[in-house]
Amino acid sequence: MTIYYSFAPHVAFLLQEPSEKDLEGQPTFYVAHLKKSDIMVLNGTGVFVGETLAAGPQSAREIADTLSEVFEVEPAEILGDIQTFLDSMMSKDFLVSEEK
Amino acid sequence: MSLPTDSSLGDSLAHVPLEVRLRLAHAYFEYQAGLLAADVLHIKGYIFGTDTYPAQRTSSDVDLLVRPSHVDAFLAGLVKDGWEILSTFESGSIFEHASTIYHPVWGLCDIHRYFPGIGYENPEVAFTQLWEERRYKEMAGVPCATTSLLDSRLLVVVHGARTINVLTHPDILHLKETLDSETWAQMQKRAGELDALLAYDTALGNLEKHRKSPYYLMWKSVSEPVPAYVQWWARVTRVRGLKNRVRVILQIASINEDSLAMSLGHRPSKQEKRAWFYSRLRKLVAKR
Repeated sequence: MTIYYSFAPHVAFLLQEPSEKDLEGQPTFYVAHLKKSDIMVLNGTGVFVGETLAAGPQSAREIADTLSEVFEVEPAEILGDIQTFLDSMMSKDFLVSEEK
Repeated sequence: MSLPTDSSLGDSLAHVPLEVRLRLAHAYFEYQAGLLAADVLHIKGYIFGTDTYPAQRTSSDVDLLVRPSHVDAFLAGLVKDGWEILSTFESGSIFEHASTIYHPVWGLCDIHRYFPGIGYENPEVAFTQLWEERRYKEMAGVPCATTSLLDSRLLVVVHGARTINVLTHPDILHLKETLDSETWAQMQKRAGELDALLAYDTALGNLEKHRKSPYYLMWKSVSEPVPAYVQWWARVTRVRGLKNRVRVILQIASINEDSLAMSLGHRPSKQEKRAWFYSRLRKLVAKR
């Protein structure tokens, strides 16, 4: 059995690319909890996790695989960090999970 | 490699750009509309976007048009969810059409119970006409109900009619530059269907076609520079019945504390209220 994570139905999300003027700017991913009126700001690799989750349900392993290709690291090296992050998002009610 | 840096709202709100916050707020309101079973159309601002407005146009709040029969329950639900009413419908503008509310996370929102210039005689019917033609546009991943493209452009024109020196309004000039004559003809036809011809004609410099309308003076007073007392007279004559006219006269004479508070950025003191009252009196005397 694998656990798949996705954004909860009461969550909105938005990717903001840096403006054309801001040559050194980085993209930012915003996640809003519509029930609790809370906004979470994701930077750095968090942006990739946010974008991956926005595409549909993902397991921690799948996210690690996607990030490992982008950042050229072994999936096993980052799997623990990703699981911690997903658990944190779950505890704040931004994500829902499903076992398949 | 460091994994996701995230921060909760408390320490990061200042870093959320206004445009991002407003786009997320649209998603919030669509969610609330579902919870509160209210028919809500997102209008103007970022929801209309570049198919209606010039590309560089920015916005500072969210505007919602709510079915008149749903508006009280919707507003009560929002207050329960932490929104503060900055101005009531009655104190919001001379048209008494919108209430401004504020939330520390989502920012400012104008809740419209009708759209000035559209469906004066029956706002509920006008809302239904707009609602039946609605479309959905995605904001922060959430499909939000908004007016059809034709109705959106018509709303922009009608909204522009409430501007002094209306013929130079940038939003209307943009539509004049980008839309063909066939689209303008469709818009005019739609304005007729929505009981909006008076405001539509005002926006295009043809107000004089409506000299006999009971609302003529009202639209003249918001689209051309006129003395304050002309607008006050227009407000009194716009409403029907002695009771309503007395109410408007009392409103004009009294201090609009909500409006004054928004100008000052804080609730007015007795001294500030007094100063405002006398400045208004001076205005009246000077213009006569």
